[in-house]
Amino acid sequence: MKNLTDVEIIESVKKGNAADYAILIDRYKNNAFSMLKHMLKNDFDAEEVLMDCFLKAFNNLNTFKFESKFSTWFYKIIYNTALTKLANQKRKIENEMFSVDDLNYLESKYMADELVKDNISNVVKKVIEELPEKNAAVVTMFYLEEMKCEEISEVLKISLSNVKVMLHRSRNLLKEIIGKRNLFEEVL
Amino acid sequence: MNINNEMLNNYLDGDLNFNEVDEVKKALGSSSELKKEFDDLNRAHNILSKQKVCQTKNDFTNLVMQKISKKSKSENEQKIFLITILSILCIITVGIIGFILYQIVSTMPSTIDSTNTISSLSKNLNNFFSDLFSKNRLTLLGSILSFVMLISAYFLFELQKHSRKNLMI
Repeated sequence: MKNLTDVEIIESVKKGNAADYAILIDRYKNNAFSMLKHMLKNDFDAEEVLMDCFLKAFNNLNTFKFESKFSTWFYKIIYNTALTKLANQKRKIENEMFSVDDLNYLESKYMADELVKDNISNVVKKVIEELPEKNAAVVTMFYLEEMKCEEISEVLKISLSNVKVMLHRSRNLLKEIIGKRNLFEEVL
Repeated sequence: MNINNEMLNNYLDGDLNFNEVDEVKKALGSSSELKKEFDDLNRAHNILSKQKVCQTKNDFTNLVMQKISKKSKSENEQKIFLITILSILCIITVGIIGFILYQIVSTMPSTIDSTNTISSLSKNLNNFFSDLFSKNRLTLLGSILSFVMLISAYFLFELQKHSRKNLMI
């Protein structure tokens, strides 16, 4: 059963086998949770929103027309619900082009001496968790979900070049932080 | 060709064409500084690729499935409720129509003259409606209308709720 494609599972659920939806949940829950955690910066909110997203996806499965991948459609739900949650929390939602200052702030923060002895996985985790919401979403979808930049631009409803800019800047930020702190050796 | 950071990133992502790839490879072979920058970038890329996936609670899937089954149960209950209301409405409508027809038929003379049938029917209808809108019957009519309006308001509310749900996606 677990080898079924997303399309086969959805068709089965649409035919009335609601229990098959559990396979889709198992398939996407952890990556989606990672993205939400990076965007919302909070475990509890991330889990609550994720549950809401799976329910929304189930209720609207009939509107899914197989025109795009299920993952693209589902991540659209996740991204929009996360933005709504952030708006409700009256948190700042970025414009399409984020401020470079945000990344500069992170760069200077993670150069701080007290963090020098921290191990690489913790630094990476902290850096990703502190990225602006859109950058965190782009990094998660690209690296964890292995989505193409075209799919990410469809999910975020921004241009392909903006997705690439966000991805490159996030990658450069990590490169600068880790490189300047001579942590590459630790990785190797 | 000027090989900048953006080009290195695109090279890493495989977004360059054949000629550009060739140029980047040549530049990496000739410049140690550029090679170092690319190696650092490549390592950052590898670190991001190997980032740990955050795990949800163990019973997360069960919790979602429980919510789904609860929701479908309440939806079924809602459907039954709607069907019951609609049935009651239908029975009331059939009752009213039956009552009207009974009133008309009972007031008609037993021997029907074909020439007087239409005028007799219209007269009876006229009498019936003036009787229906008389002071005594107005309360009953008002109650029925209020009931119909309540049902319509409920359907309107459900429709709005459904559209709002769709808009959220």
